[in-house]
Amino acid sequence: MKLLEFNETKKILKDLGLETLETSKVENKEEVLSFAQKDFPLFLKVFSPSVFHRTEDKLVKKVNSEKELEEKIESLKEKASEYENAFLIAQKQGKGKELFLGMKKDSVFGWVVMFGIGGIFLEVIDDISYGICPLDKKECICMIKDLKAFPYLQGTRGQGSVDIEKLASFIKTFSQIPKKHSEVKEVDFNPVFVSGGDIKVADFKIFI
Amino acid sequence: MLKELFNPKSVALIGATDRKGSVGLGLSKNLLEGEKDVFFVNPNKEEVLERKSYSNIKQIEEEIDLVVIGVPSSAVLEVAKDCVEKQVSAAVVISAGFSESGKKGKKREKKLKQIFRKENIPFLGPNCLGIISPEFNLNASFAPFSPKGGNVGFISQSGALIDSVIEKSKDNNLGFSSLVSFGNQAGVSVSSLIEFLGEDKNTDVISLYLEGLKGGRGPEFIKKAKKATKNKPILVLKGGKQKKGKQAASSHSGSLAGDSEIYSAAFKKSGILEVENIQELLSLSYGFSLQETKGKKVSILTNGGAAGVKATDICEKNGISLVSFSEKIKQRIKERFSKQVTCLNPLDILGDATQKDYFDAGEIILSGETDILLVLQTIQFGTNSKGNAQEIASLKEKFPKKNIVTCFLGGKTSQKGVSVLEEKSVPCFENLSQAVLFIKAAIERVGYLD
Repeated sequence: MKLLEFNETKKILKDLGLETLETSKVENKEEVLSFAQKDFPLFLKVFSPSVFHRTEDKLVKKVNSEKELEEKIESLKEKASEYENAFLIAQKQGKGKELFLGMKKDSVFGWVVMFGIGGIFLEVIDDISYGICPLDKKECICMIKDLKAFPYLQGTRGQGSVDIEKLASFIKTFSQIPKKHSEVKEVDFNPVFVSGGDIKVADFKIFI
Repeated sequence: MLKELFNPKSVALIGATDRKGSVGLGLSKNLLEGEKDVFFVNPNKEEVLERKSYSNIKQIEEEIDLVVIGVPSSAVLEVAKDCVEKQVSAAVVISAGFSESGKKGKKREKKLKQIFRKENIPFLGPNCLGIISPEFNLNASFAPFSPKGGNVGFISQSGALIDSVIEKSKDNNLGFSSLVSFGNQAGVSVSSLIEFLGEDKNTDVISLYLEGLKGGRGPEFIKKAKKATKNKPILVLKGGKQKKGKQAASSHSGSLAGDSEIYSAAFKKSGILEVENIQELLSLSYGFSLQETKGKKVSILTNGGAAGVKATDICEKNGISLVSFSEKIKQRIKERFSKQVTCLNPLDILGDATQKDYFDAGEIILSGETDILLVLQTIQFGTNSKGNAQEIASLKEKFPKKNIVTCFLGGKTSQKGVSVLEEKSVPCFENLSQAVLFIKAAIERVGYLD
């Protein structure tokens, strides 16, 4: 398997109406500055069809200010040179709760959607909902409510809540990716930032 | 399409024998127990169990609806061709030595499939225990025990499990419409069996033991199970649960979903209720064979404080909260019972409760919003199990649309009323956990049907 090309992935998401965090291909400091418009922190990431796990391979850097920019660009560029067709992307920081959405094809049941709390907790806490495609909205709502962490999504201790209806629609749309693109083998969105009804994908990988 | 498999008029057994301890003898004896026209085939015998034995199925003049094949695997393909020539309507291939046993077996299974499929003959197996259908007086299996007739349809990937279930079911007072062991699923799939029992008017509950479906068969399974669960509950015990993430996957998500999580999601999508062990499978089959639930609101009535407290604990642990009694109900309880009875749910009518107390308390609770009443009985001085059971049964008659679930705690004395309850379709469970598990499953099913 390899990753679908960056711009093509973005286009698939755009066509389906799945919003991503503001993201741009960048080559140098000037381009990053123009992208940032003084809005720090931001993230620099290496994209390559052969890079599957950016965090583990240290191919993500948080840039807190303009001062740090030069050094971080250089170190990432050096790392990127080790990979085939690699380039840098800059991304704004996300807001809200970090969720995870994944999809794979099962030999018996076909496409299966996985949903849970994202970021590093995904692998630590065994709290994932599974859904067999095709999924209707009612099933997507069940998947959300089935999470042990559902109260966290509803908002506890003054933390913001998540718009369950909108999130369910998002999951439903997500589940339709392979239907529209037959070459897809696996999909991995982690994290997806959700704040109220505002849902934005930060890391998106489509495997072909 | 499966009618001849479940309810044939005539059955031929190829591999009939009276050799002690053999599968063929088990099959021969069991077939003769039913009410079918039975024909034995064995080229090496002239008689089996004092009946004529034919050397080939083609020699039988009468029409054969169902053929049961119990010969060694090396002879199965030849015999199957004879069956096709004889134009049998359905087949059960008991013989092992197919895809479960390596490459050669796989090849043989493929050929067997081709032989039957060419003429569209449905066949069960290979590598299975067979089919037992008390509702149609058929026992085409080598099971050592005969089950009681009833309304539970049992479908199992394991034949050995059926043997144990039949024996255990006698203690649980569980009866079956049919029990089917589907073996390697080369012909008739588990989905078609679900479809058949889903439409079968003698089956009220389908109970399934499943290890796995064949590749690509998932959507058909979901479609047929979904249709069946609209009319009757399906319970499943999934065997061979794998730990997830065994296979190396290139993405995070790929490694997350293991076999058991995906099957559980598919069961949920189909409205199938999943259980954790054989005891739960039998216990829920028993409950659903007597009652289908219509509502979600639960109350508890008891003559022992501890039983009520413990049952409430188990309910809470399972996400079931009890209803709060309305003022009107509280008032009626106050008027009817002594001051020591507090108007709370669980309602404890105290150790000296009479059968009349049970009826009146139940009547008051069920006249309110309660859908499911869990009645507990502990054995105390003066407790009359049979009398209590009779009153609870009358309650059920008075409120036919509501559910009454019981648990009579204790030993033989406390069990005296069980048959009285069961006659009126009121299940009586051995312990509190089983009773609450049934209530939980019943509520889950109501939620699915909503």
